Amino acid sequence: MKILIIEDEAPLRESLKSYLRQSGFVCEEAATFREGYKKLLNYEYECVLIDLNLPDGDGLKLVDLAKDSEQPTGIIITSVRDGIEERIQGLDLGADDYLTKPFNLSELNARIRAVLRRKAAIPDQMIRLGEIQIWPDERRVVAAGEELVLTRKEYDILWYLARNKNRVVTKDSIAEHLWGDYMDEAISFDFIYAHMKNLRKKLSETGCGDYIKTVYGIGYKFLVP
Amino acid sequence: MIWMGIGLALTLGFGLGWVLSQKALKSRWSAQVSKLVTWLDKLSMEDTEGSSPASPYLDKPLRSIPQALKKHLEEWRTDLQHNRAFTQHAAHELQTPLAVIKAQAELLLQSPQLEEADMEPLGQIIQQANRLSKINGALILLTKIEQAQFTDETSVDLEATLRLLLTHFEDLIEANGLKVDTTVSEPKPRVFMSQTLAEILLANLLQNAIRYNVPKGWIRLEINPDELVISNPGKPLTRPASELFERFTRSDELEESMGLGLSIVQRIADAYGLGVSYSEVGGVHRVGVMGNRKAEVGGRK
Repeated sequence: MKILIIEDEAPLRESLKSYLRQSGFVCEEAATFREGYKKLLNYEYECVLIDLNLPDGDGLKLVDLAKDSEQPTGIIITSVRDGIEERIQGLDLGADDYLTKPFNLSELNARIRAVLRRKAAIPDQMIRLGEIQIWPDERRVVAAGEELVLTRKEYDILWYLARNKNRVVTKDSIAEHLWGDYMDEAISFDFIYAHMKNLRKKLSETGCGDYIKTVYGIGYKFLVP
Repeated sequence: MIWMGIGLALTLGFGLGWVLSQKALKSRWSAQVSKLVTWLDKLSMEDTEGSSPASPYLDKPLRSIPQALKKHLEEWRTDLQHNRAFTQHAAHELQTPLAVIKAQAELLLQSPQLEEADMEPLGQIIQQANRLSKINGALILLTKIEQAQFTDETSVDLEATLRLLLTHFEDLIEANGLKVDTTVSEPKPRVFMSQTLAEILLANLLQNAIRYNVPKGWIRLEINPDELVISNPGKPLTRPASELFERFTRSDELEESMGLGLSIVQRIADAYGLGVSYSEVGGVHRVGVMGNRKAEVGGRK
């Protein structure tokens, strides 16, 4: 899976590149509008991350260009602007998702995978993680051959951790993923803890292995060999 | 005698005349002053340049007052705009470095060389960076409300919005063992405002009602044609109620709070001419959002 990162802020670009490489993607980068334009013209990518505020051009024009490529390309806009207009404009132009800076890398990773899955246009694609199978379209989970009945939030947590398998996922990013900006961290952390306890209990009752590891004080890690 | 009589009559006459004219003057004065006061009442910092109500016609000594006030108002308005623009600009400028800090910290977290002892401080860095970005996000939101930068304005169904938010927070409500009791009386209130801001306003109020509740407590939602009331039992306030809606005041007990939630509520309400009332009686906190009929008909204030 090849991803193009168009981002002018060097340290941010570097960390995006390293993180996504660790997650198994092949990454290329562009620091300017011109560079991004050239790469989009000459190569094909499964997914492009486009920063809107580039020093030498409007990122929205790159969205247009990326959309015209021969193979379907997932387009995710990243921007410090969080206005409704920009969001709508970007999505109207054909972007698949819009992330406001600053964002969590695990959230970006999850969104990229979701966009890629949609673009691949394979309906009802099942995700298998060890003994756990997830059908995202139906929000259905089978663990060790047994159907799991999960609450909405339990499912969302499992999906998010699975999307970021083998990576440390912070409590903060889980909270933001589940509740957006609305929620206070004081309550949300207690909540994640409670949901996680139930989720683990339900998983272990099926006799399935314990994949979720607690990273003390920080968050969780979904470990699959 | 006659002269004395005339003299007396004249004196009386003058005296009476003077008293009468004083009276007339007084009533003219008070009419003028009340004209001035009426005009002053209509003035608002939020008006755009040149849109202040026309100055009243006044007698000479008062005539210069409206002019002088208008000049100062214009200056204050410019200052205010500069301040807001500065806050917005500064908050926006902070987003990129924050994005870098967050990304680098999250990346570092994945390093296999990381020692167990490094985890805790790194977790703190991440958590604080997130808090910082939330505060910053709230500041950006505040300035955007003040600058009227929300365009998704429509006739908002407050009841439907509240129901949507209740499902959003259902797990939270359930886990705290809270009972939610909703009463709706027709016609349901509709307010012309930004849908996004309506959600933010109600989410903040609902979250407070959940958060500052008692174990196994309750939340009462009353949706009346012209008022939406959220009440819940809770501990008495440790600060004066008037401070509640100011920026950065918060209950000492829950240190994590950003202290901007209620101030956002106030700003949104102000932007659309909705009144927010707060009271606490016998340990029951009650927040009312008064629908403004004018807001429904006439749009943004």
